[in-house]
Amino acid sequence: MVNIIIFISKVYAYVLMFILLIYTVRHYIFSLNRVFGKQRISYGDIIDSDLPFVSVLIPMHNEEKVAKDILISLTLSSYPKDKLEIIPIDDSSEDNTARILKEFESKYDYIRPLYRNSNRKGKAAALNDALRFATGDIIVVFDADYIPGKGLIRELVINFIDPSVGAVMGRVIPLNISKNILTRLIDLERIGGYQTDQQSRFNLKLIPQYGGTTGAFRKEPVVLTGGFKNEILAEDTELTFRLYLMGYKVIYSNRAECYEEVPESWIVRARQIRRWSCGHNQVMFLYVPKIIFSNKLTIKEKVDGLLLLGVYFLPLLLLIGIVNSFILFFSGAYFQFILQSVASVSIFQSFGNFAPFFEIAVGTYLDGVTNRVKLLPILGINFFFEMWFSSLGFLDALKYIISKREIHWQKTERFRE
Amino acid sequence: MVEKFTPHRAIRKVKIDRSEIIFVAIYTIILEILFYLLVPKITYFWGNYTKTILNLNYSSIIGTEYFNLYVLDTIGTFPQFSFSFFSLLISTAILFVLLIQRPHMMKYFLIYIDSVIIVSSFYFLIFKQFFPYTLTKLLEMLTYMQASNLILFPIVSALSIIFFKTKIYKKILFITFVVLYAFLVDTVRYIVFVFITKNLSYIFSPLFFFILGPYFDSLYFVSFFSFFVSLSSKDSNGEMFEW
Repeated sequence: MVNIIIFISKVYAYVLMFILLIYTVRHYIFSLNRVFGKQRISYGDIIDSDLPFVSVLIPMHNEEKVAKDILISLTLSSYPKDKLEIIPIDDSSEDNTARILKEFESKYDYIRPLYRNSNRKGKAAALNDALRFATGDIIVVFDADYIPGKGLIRELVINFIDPSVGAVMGRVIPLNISKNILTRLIDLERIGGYQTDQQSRFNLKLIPQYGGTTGAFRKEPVVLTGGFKNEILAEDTELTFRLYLMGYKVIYSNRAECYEEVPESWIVRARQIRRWSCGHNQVMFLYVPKIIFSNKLTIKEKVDGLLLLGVYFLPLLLLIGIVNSFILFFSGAYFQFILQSVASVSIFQSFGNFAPFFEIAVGTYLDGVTNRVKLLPILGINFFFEMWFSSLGFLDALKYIISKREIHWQKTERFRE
Repeated sequence: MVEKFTPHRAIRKVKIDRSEIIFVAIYTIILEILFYLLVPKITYFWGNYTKTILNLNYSSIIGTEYFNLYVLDTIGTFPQFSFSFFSLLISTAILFVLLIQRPHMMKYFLIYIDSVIIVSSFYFLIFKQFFPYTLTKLLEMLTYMQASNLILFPIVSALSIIFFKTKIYKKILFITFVVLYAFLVDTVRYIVFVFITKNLSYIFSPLFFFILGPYFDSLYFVSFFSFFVSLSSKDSNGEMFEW
C-alpha cells in the first residue's frame, strides 16, 4: 500500500512538472508577443455614423454607494442618445438603489430601469430578464461599481461592424489602487491579465475572454441559445466559449479602458476568488469535451481554450503538489521531491496569482508603472491565499455539478464613500 | 511626426535590439560554462567552509552520488520524544490561533510554514525510526538544489530581462549580481542548515527545503527583478516604445 502511494506520488510530481512547464511556456510566449510582436488593434478607430442601437445593462443589488457614479458617467457618454438605452436592473435591493434609479429615470428618457423582485436572484437571472426588456441588437454590460469614460460605449460597439464578432471585451483598471496593499496587488494582477495576457491572446488569434463587464455582445445568438445560464456563476466565461463554439470571435480592445472598484478587504477578496474559481471550473466541467470535439475552433484555439479553462484548476493541483511534497520528502524520494519543489513552489509559484512575474512585469513596463512593480515578490506570499480560495472554489463547483443544487450568488461588497 | 509622440499604452511595443539580445545570450553562455566548471569546486567550498566555521574537525568532504559534486559528511541529531512532542504542541497551538484569524495573505503564508513544522514534528514523534536521511544525505539534497540554482539563475535572469530596454551594462550587472547573491545565500544557508540540524535536530530540516529553499530563492530573485524593471522603466522615459 505504502509503495503504491509513493509510486502515485512520484508520477504526480512528473505530471505537475509537465503541466507547469506548459503554462510557463505559454505565458512566456504571451510576454514575448506582447513586447515584440505585431499588435492587433480592434475596430475602435473606425469612424462610422451608422452605429447600432445599444442597450446598456447594469445589474444592481444594494448599490446605493456606487449607482449614482455609473449613471452620471453614462449620461455623459458621447454615444448618440437616440441609439442608446440604459437599463439599470434593480435586483431586490433593500437600500436606496431603487430611489436613485427613479431619480435618474425621471430626468433622462433613455434611462429605463428594470425593477426585479423575483425569487431567482443573481447576475445571470437579472441579465436574462433585462434581455427580454432590452430593444438593442448589441448589449453592453457594466457592473455597478464601474466608471465608463465618454467614448467607451462607441469604442466597444463599433467592433460589431464585423459580423463574425460575437463579443468585445475592454480593459479593466482599478480605481482605488493606492488604498492598501491588497488593491495594489490586484492592480498588478489586472495589468498582467489585460495588458499582456488578453492582448497577446488577441494578437495570436487565440481566445481572448469576454469578462462580463466593460464588454458587449450580440444579443441574438445569446437569446437564441437560451440566454445566460442561471446555474453557472461565471456567466461571462460560459458566454465566451458558447460564442466560439457557434463560430463567433471575441475581440479584445485594449484601448477601451474602464475603471472599477476592487476589493479593499481580504475577506471580500477571498469570496470573490472563490466565486470566480467556482464559476470558471463549472464552465470547465461543461465545456472541455465540447471544445475538444468542436469543428468551429482551430487547433490553436482548442489548446488555448483548454489551458484557459484550467487556470482555476491549477491552484488545486499546486495545493495537492504541496501535500505531495511532504510524501516525497518523508518517503526518501528526494529526486522527485527536488524536481517538484523546484518546479512548483519556486519559479512557478506566481501561478497562484494567475500571471507569472515576467508577464506582470511586461505589463507594468508597457504601462509606465515604475514603483508598484516593486511589489511583485509579495505576490509570492499572496500565492498561498489565492491558492487556498481558488481550491475551495473548485470544490464548490464540483459540489454544484454533482448535487445540481441552485447557485447562491454572493455580491461583492462596495467600499466607495 | 510619429517619432515625436509616445504611443498609447494599449498599442505600445518595445524596439527590439538584436545585438543586445545576442550580447546577453553570449554573456549567459559564458557564465553557464564557468559555473558548470566551477560547481564542483563551489560545492567543495560549501562543505569545507562550513567545517571550518563550525569546527567540525572529525567530518570529511566526500563525493555525491550523482554529478561529481562534494558534500560534507557529518551526522545530525535526532529529536528526543519530548522535543518532538512540545514542537508539535506549540506548532498546533499556533495553527489554531492562525485559523481563527480573519482571511489575510499573511495568515495562509504562516499556516504553510507552521504546517511544515507540524508534519515534521508529528513524523519524528511517531515514525522517527523510518526517517530516510542522514545529515550527509540531506546535505547532498541541498547541494543538488543549490547547484541547480547557480546553473539556472543566469538562464532565468537572461530570459526575464530580454523584454526590457535599458543599458546593456545594467543587464550584465543584474545577471552577475543575482548569481553572486545566490552564491552568498547558498553558503550561509548551508552553514545554518548544518548548525541547526546538528544542534536542534532534524525536525527543522524540512523548513530548509519547503520554505528557505527554492521558494525563498524565487522570492529574492523576483525582488531583484522587480527593482530592475522599475529602474529600466524610470530610465527609459518612454523612448523605448515604437508604434
